[in-house]
Amino acid sequence: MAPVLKLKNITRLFGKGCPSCLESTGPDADTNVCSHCGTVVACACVSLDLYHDEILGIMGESGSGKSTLLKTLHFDIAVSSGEIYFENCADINLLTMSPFEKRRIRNFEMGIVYQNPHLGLKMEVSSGGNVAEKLLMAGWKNIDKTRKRSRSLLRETEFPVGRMDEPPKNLSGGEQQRVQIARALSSNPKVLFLDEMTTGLDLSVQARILDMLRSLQKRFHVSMIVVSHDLGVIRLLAQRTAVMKYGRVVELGLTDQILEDPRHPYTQLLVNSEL
Amino acid sequence: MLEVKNLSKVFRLYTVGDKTIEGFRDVSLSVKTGEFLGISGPSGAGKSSLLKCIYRTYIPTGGEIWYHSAKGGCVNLATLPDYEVAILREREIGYVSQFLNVIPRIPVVDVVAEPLIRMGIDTREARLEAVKVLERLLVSSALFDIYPATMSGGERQRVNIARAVIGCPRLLLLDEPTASLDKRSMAAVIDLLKNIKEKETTMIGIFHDPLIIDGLSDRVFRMTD
Ligand SMILES: Nc1ncnc2c1ncn2[C@@H]1O[C@H](COP(=O)(O)OP(=O)(O)OP(=O)(O)O)[C@@H](O)[C@H]1O
Ligand SMILES: Nc1ncnc2c1ncn2[C@@H]1O[C@H](COP(=O)(O)OP(=O)(O)OP(=O)(O)O)[C@@H](O)[C@H]1O
Ligand SMILES: [Mg+2]
Ligand SMILES: [Mg+2]
Ligand SMILES: [Zn+2]
Repeated sequence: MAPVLKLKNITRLFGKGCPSCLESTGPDADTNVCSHCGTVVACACVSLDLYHDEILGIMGESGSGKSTLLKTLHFDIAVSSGEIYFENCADINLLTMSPFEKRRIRNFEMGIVYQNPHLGLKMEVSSGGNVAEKLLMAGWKNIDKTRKRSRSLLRETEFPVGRMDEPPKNLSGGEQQRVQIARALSSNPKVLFLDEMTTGLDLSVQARILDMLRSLQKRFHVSMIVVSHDLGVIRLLAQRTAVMKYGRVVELGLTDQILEDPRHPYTQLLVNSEL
Repeated sequence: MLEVKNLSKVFRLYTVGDKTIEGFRDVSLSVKTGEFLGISGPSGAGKSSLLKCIYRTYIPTGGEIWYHSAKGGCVNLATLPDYEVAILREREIGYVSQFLNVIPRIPVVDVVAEPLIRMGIDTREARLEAVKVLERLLVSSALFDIYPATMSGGERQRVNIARAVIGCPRLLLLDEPTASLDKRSMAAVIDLLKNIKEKETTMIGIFHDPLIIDGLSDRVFRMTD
């Protein structure tokens, strides 16, 4: 079966770059900073497929390039090199498309929940307005319908809808993440990117958000990439998991295999340290 | 239906000074459709590791596992792409271990019904079916709406079994699924397994109790250290 989203050799450098950047960084070099030119190799040669109805996990330590990868997929930041293919336009590398086309794909087919809610939400605008904004970008015109849909999405994410006119800055971290999720799901996207969406929330809130997400995934049939350094989150949500270190994917497999029979030394270290 | 050829599993552990541990070596066996193959052998012989290799929780380090799938013809589970293994798990291959990897905060009925719902069966119908299987396994109806996390070991184990059999997998892998059950619920489990065997589910099972192995298996494969 063809994947929904196909990444080929996604690479992103921060810095001027030199011919030695790739070979002088990575797990073997034990750094993501090029010793020749000081460039940060945030992700390099990442190739992954995301399939229908699938939740793909990405784990790895701080700085391994997880957020950078998601941001390139959502066209928030440019790649240094690499290709992205999407099933609805299967033979065209999305990264060669015009800004207009990219925006269209992002607005209609993608949703993202950022690690930092300040990136995903306008903190001064009402919560309902934050959800409605994405709907407007996806072509919704009728204000009344937009408001109704925003309300129903916020209800789906178990947001206290009585507070939908309040701005996110008044809300708790868990409530802000629910607004982000409602916003991300609003255009009925094919793919959803979730970056540490429960990190920093207290455990019972985390648990409820994860359960809510599992059931939404089943109902909306949306494919997801879930980034987390929490093995519990990955175990609960992801069928397959990629492990990143210094910008590279060092191991990719079924989640239970990654956790019970990790083969890369780094994955073993990561899994053992959580036991 | 399944043919294992010269299968081996060696674990290489880097975090404890690059040690290698042998799981099992050079195992060959075959199982026919509808057959129940028992696996016996001393502790540490590699029984669980073998089942986990077939389910692909472990990746074999040598050999082949040929499986005749319902749709895709004959595939080697040792090398099949992960995503295709995931699809087989959803539709054809079930696994029950001694331990339930509980999905927290989902009521028991829904835990059991989930595989059917994922197959596209209507939620109401799936829940009715789940209730039936749970009743057969003598799980008290008072527990249907609670979370598995709060259940006893034996109750959880039956939920585990119910979830694995509800979709009538073509191949069912059982790793001591009756380990913490009392006599009465064990009998219910065995009865259910006999019943799904008649429906042509092929099974490979590890049981400590020789009586169970003899009662269920058509053949026994013995593993040694
Ligand atoms: N704008 C930037 N300029 C320079 N370096 C950057 C920039 N953004 C990210 N980096 C670097 O790229 C690397 C990858 O960062 P990224 O945020 O993707 O990591 P991460 O895996 O998401 O980490 P965390 O788990 O802490 O969120 C880090 O070394 C980071 O310092
Ligand atoms: N994930 C693993 N990592 C490292 N070694 C392992 C792993 N799983 C199994 N082993 C080792 O492989 C060998 C076989 O173990 P296995 O669990 O398959 O035995 P078993 O026959 O099922 O034993 P028992 O009857 O006690 O359950 C043992 O030495 C065990 O320590
Ligand atoms: Mg990050
Ligand atoms: Mg065992
Ligand atoms: Zn360089």
